[in-house]
Amino acid sequence: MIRYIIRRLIWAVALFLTVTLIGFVLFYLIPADPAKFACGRACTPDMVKKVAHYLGTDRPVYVQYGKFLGRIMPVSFHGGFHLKSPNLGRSFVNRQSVDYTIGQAAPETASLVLGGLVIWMLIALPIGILSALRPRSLLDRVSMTGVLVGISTHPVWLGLMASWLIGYKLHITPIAGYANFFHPLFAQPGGPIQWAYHLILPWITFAILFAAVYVRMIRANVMETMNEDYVRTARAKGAPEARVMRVHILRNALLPVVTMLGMDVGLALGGAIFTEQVYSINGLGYQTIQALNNYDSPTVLGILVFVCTSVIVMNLLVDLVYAWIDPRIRLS
Amino acid sequence: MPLLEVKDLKTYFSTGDGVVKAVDGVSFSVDKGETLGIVGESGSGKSVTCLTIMGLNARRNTMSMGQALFNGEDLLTASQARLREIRGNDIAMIFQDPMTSLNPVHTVGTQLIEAVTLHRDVPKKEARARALELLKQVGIPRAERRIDDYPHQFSGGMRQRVMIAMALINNPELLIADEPTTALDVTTQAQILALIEKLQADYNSAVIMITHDLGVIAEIADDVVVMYAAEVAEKGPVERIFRSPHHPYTWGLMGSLPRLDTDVDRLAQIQGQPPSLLRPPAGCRFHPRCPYVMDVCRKVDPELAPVGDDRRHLQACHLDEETKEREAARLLGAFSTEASAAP
Amino acid sequence: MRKRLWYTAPLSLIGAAALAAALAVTAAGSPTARTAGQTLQLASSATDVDYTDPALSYSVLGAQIEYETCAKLVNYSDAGGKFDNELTPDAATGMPVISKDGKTYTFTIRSGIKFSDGAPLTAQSFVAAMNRDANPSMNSPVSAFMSEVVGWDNVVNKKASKISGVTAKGNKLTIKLTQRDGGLLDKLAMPFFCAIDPAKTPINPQGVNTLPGAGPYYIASRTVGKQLVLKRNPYYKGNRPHRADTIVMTMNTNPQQTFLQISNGTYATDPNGLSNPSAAAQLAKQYGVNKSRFFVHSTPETDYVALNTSRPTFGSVAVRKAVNYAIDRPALLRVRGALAGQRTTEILPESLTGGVYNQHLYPIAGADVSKAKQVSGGKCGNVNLWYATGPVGTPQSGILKYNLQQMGCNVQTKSYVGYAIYTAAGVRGNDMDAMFAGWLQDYADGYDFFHILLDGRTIQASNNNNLAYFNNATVNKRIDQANALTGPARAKAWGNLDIYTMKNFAPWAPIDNRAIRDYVAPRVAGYLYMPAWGAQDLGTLYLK
Repeated sequence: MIRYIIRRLIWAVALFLTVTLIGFVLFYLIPADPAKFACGRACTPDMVKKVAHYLGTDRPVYVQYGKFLGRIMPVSFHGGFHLKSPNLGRSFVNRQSVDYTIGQAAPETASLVLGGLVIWMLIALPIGILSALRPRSLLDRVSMTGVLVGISTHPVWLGLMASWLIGYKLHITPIAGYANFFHPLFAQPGGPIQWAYHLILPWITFAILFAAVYVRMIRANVMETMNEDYVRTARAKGAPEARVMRVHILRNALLPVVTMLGMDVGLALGGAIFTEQVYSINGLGYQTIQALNNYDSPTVLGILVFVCTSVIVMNLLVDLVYAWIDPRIRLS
Repeated sequence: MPLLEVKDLKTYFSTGDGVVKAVDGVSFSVDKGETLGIVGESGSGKSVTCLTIMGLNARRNTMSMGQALFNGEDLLTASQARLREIRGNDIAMIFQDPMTSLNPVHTVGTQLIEAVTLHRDVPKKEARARALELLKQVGIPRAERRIDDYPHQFSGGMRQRVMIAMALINNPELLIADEPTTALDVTTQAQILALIEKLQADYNSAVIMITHDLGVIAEIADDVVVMYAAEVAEKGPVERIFRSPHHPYTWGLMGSLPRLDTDVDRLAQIQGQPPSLLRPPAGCRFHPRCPYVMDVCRKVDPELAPVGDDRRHLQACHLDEETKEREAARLLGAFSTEASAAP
Repeated sequence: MRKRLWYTAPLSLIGAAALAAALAVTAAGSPTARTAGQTLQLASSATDVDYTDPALSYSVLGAQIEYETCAKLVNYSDAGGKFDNELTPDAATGMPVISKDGKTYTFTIRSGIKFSDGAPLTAQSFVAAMNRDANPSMNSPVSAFMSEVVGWDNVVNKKASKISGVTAKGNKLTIKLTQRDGGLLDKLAMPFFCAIDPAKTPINPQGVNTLPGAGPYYIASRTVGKQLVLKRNPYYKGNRPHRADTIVMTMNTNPQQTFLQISNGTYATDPNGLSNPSAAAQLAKQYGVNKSRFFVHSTPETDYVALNTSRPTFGSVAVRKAVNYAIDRPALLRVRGALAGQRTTEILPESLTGGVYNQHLYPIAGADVSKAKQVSGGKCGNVNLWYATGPVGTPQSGILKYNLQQMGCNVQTKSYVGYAIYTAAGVRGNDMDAMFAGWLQDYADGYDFFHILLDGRTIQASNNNNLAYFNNATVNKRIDQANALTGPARAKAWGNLDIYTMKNFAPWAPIDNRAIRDYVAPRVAGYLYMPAWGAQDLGTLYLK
């Protein structure tokens, strides 16, 4: 087990380095000069040079990459070997600490994604299971049509329609915006109730696409598992249907769902971009778009590091959880 | 009264292509402590017969008719709750493929304990002790450790032993074994069969052994039912069937057995293919493949009739008695050195 | 019947009470435009303010905020709810005393002005502000405009720690220049010259977020990327309006949603202007223009097509002039939506021309292809047309390509994302023939346009703003001449130079002067447009 984890960690580091290196090089190749942008359009070339020096963009790319890695490390060799907190640098555009930006954005994305996760599972599990139990029934056909609509509908369109109808016309929910759970902004709604109230539409918008995909997957898995021999054995033992469903069918059918959940959450934490855009949620996806438009490479790379790390961690977690719940994997 | 009496059992499945008559008028009975062997090709309806008795067919698009009297109670009309009481408790069933018949994510112990607690209100410790006891009885070495292992940690033969343990854990009166050794190698086959026989004696259970292997029949069955195309072709006590088979299909089965004492280039085989159960042939269902086919065979489906005055040995064939005796003797001449001793 | 229903009454009472409680909780938390003590809720869509540090902020939104929070030497007054587009003294007692040679400016600072934390504002406050601006650690963009101040560049180049040319004695502030600069006062009105309390506004390359202010408001808090809060300066005694107690600006909101939220009163307005340009026509129809809810004003900004005079095709004056006939100004402007701007054929916005302004140097009603061909002699050549992708750039590139093709040019387009186009176009010797560009005034003087955008002597290897790479000795001389003037003569000189340049050299094909369209929520009053900044005044808004 320890060796397994160590091996995974080594792979994780290799992946991490590859991703950041590629990101770094891509930015370097783009013909945009952040120093000029940061300095201001009226700047003389002399001033631009000074700003470039301040930003660090006048060093060769490998030096910049080295500094970037050095910042991320939790250890430092300057003045002797010692621990330090890793940091992701400063934005070229507004000189803010990227750590701070991510620290602000990540909880918003997490609120959206994790809440959306709960909702999409609450939708997908019962519908998927019921559809599998009654294939080709009215419920099944309706839910499969719903799945098609859910997969095809673009979250931006859905979000705009929903917020316009339910927020603006019917005044049932707020139109857009994020209410902070712990520390409301000055004169802005906050606290748990407002937080949830502002997230109702975003959660639903975000969840629909995933719910559609998961309904299909759960339905397929359950239908397949229902035909397994061990299900027949369980019935032959005299088990009631509820028990057969719970202990034998679902316990097996939902195993792949665990893997997919882990992967989807890891990816979605990188930014449920469309939903964030539509509802003015300044999460990681939104920040990435802003930073990309401004060629703000520290912010983009910082978010890349964060997302890369979270995906790696999620995948590792998923593998460990999967090994725990599927004994066939555990012992190999 | 017989433990299980099946009367004119029919099971029809309605599919997109039409009605499949998987079991079309099957009758037999099993006495307490006896072993009945049901033999036939794939698709003859032998498994479906037993699944119907247990009520394990999918309920949609399935019609079952006839009677399956277990201790006088008709299982076909019993409620689902009643059937669940009986399954795993009074009648137990084990299946063909031990690799897939156990739930891979639960330990063997958990599944054995489940079999107990579904029918008895006992504390888990007691159920576990019982499970351990059965594992030892079926010959699992180091059972105390193995009880907490997962199915994939057992070999095929071991898994089948576990299945048998699970089936017998509640002392069922009847054990239905659906081709329990088909997926196993020959050595293991012999072991499993021996185990079944032994436990049958210990528990005094009746056994229905479904198989396509006449060797298995010869080994352990008291009575035999030969099925072909959803109907019974011939049935009777095992010595009668082996010494004096009275149906061309049975002759074909016997004749296709490999033999040690003669050199043959090819095994004799029954020509033709098993028929479709969607649109079975008119008249006798075996007639397209029968070397002895007569006109009447094409029109009239023969009824089961006794051989001579042996009411226990029945066959369904239009051939006259003489021809059958002659053919039986011819076959037996070939078999005379191998007439198997009774088990 | 009665028996079954006896419990429903108390149950529904409990239910109603619970519902009311829940609604009350949510209502108390939800932002409506009307709350006690007049808190104004604003939404800045799609963007945050770049900085709130006066040394660094270089945006319209930053200027709007600092206009409320800063006291400057000279400023534009909005006293009485009217905007005065002429500079008047702010923290100074009067306009400065200027020496005969025009190189020394002396201001007398008024007494009794206090910052929001009670500290007094003195001449030193301005010395500190300028020294801070010049400090090399700050990398302030204003240094690009201040080379004429004695000693400024020495501080920037780390040769001195203080600007020798800026001194304070008692309540007198003296600024010495190396040469005459008729635009100095306009420059001093820029937000970079906000008076600061140096103790509370340290040198910080990242920029300070909050600082004491001597204007009607001060910056009470800033959560970067999310929110800015302005509160009334308790020590402000001047005559500038500050109607709302508190101004709360939520940043980075979605533009379409902001439009809906202004419509239903969640936000009072978007300081950046109408966030949803496609709604402009409908708003004009519904509310009229400049009446109650929807306002349109011209800003000191020019959108133009830069024609690269250093390359073969547009090296010919005749061809450049022909472009000015061939270009379809109305079509290009329509891409920006209804009421987006005013067509122009001049370099400078009208406010900088001293009244010498001619909108019809070239056709503004549409393309005149035959005249264009006549002027160019029917020849054109290859044109590499660069543009930035987006809802405006992409359609405009299509229109211009068509116009040029009609004129006989062979057009290849090349697209860029965001400001990369400026980086690439700023490199001398690039292969751009024509590109779309725009320039908003930094301060109210024509030098800001001419010197930066059309003075050939500023052309360097890279980071050029003179995208036409235009270098004409006569024009250069006339830039210097105009720059030496002061007063109305100065503005007129710029106006004349503008017409002269466009008539004789046409380095650009100007398209329009952008308009700002502002949309306010119902029950919001006090809208005031500030021509100097091209944006609305935040201090005059209130809820009826």
